[in-house]
Amino acid sequence: METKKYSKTSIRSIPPSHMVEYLVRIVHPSSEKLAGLSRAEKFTLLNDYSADCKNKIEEWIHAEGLESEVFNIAEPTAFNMLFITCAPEVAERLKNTDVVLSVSRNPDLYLDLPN
Amino acid sequence: MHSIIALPKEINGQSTSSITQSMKKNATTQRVNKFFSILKATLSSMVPALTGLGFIETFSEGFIDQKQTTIANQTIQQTLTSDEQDSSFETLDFLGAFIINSQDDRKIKEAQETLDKAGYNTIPDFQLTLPKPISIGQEFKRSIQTPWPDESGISVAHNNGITGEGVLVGVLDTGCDADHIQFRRKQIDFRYVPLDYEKKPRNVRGFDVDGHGTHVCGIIAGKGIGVAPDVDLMVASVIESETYRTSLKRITVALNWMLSEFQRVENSDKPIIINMSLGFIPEFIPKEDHDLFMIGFQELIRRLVVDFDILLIAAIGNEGPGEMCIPGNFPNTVSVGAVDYNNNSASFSGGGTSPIDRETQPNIAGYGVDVFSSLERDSNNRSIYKRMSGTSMASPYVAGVAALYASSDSELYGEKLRQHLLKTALPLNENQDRVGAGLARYIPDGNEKI
Repeated sequence: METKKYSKTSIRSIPPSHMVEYLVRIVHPSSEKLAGLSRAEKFTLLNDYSADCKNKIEEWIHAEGLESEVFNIAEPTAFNMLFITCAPEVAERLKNTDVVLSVSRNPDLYLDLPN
Repeated sequence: MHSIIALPKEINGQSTSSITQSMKKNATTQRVNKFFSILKATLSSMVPALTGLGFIETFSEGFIDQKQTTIANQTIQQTLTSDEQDSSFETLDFLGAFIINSQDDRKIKEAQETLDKAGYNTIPDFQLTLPKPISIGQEFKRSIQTPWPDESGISVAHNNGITGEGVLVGVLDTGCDADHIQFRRKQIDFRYVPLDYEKKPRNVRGFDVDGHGTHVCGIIAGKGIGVAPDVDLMVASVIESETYRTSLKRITVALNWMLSEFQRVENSDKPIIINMSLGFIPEFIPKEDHDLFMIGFQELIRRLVVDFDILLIAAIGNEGPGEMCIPGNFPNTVSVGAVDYNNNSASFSGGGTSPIDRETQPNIAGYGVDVFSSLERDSNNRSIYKRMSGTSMASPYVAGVAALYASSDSELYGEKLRQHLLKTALPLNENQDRVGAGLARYIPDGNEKI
């Protein structure tokens, strides 16, 4: 099902100041379920799984009428995490959806490199 | 200390940007002087308001009358407590702007309100944490072909035709200058992983505006200087060169791109090693998000190692004994400490007991003091070199040695490769929490005699 676009902004715009980027851990297949697959097959399966989770979250956002409080959901990857920029209230409510394991803010990381 | 920057929205009814545009088109000495006299008047009018709120003006070069503000400050200072005297402002005269500093949120807010009413935009200044410099070496205009020490086994490997061919090595760093002479005949698969909100990594020619990534790549795969010059390099630029800042999202996107490379037929069975010459200091992660963030990051690393048989090599960090960076101290990575060419552990090299699994870190050591490697080309297009120190240098050395093993035996990948690397390390006369199993080295056919 095609979900309504929640972000009307261009890819170069910045989110409203009250929105924050969250690290959303999602339900993913266990390592046991991947046994016997080639690396390319594993990648495809995991990526598809994340995309499916993303779709479910988008549908939930639409059903709850929260489009204006969500700025961006980053492209799905083969990892069990989605990065969602949204209002804190949406992040709090996301925790109760079926596909979400946990929600935490996604801080910038400062590196320890030699000069 | 909190800081805000205040910029005027408009001057004499004109926006500052339109004034600047107009000046560019019609710049004459008279107009420029007029512009600065307007700025001066605007700034001067705000000084009493800020000093009235208890902010002390620190010295700033420019055209504001310092004598006037000094007298005002002396009067204010006499009535303020020492805490309040920490509140200060600087004038940026030629920008018509102020920087306001205070430890007191309430005072910052008062200043913000005053400045807002006076027609200023205020923006918060972010605190940036820069890494501690380890050494700043001399730059070299040409490669000095210093061979790796004999005990590393690298020359033996090269002499036997083992140069890393058929092995993928992924690098997450500041980038890689693909046109440096050390990489000129090498196809580097490069992606720039942009800042927020753009969807996909950009497939562009390898570049590096910092040099760190080029140095790391040179140690792994430089044509004349690298440990494993014939590996297939995949480089993702994920670190902002000016702030050394990144995010888990950028790292995730970069790693996902590297996994996607398995879909190419020629890569489907190649062993893969990923080098992360980077480390995050756990204290910088906000406390309220720390635990969930760490779980998420560990799951990501676990997926790479367990499900995709990737050997993930990470620097343990440059904060010295007792300190470790993530992801180096995660259970699924091979963490690397630094030793010098006499096999003494470097004073900056981290290590200790990992708070995550109580295992001793680092797992292994590599050369990480005054390591000679490539740097991004200079403005005259010359390929230059530099000696750098850090566990960032030790980590790619170990990644290179691992690539030699993977190249020499198709059965060595993932966990087997990890075990082989640890088993064949040269034991050193140092504690495990400084050098782990010892110095990584290449031993042909597992024979301990080189």
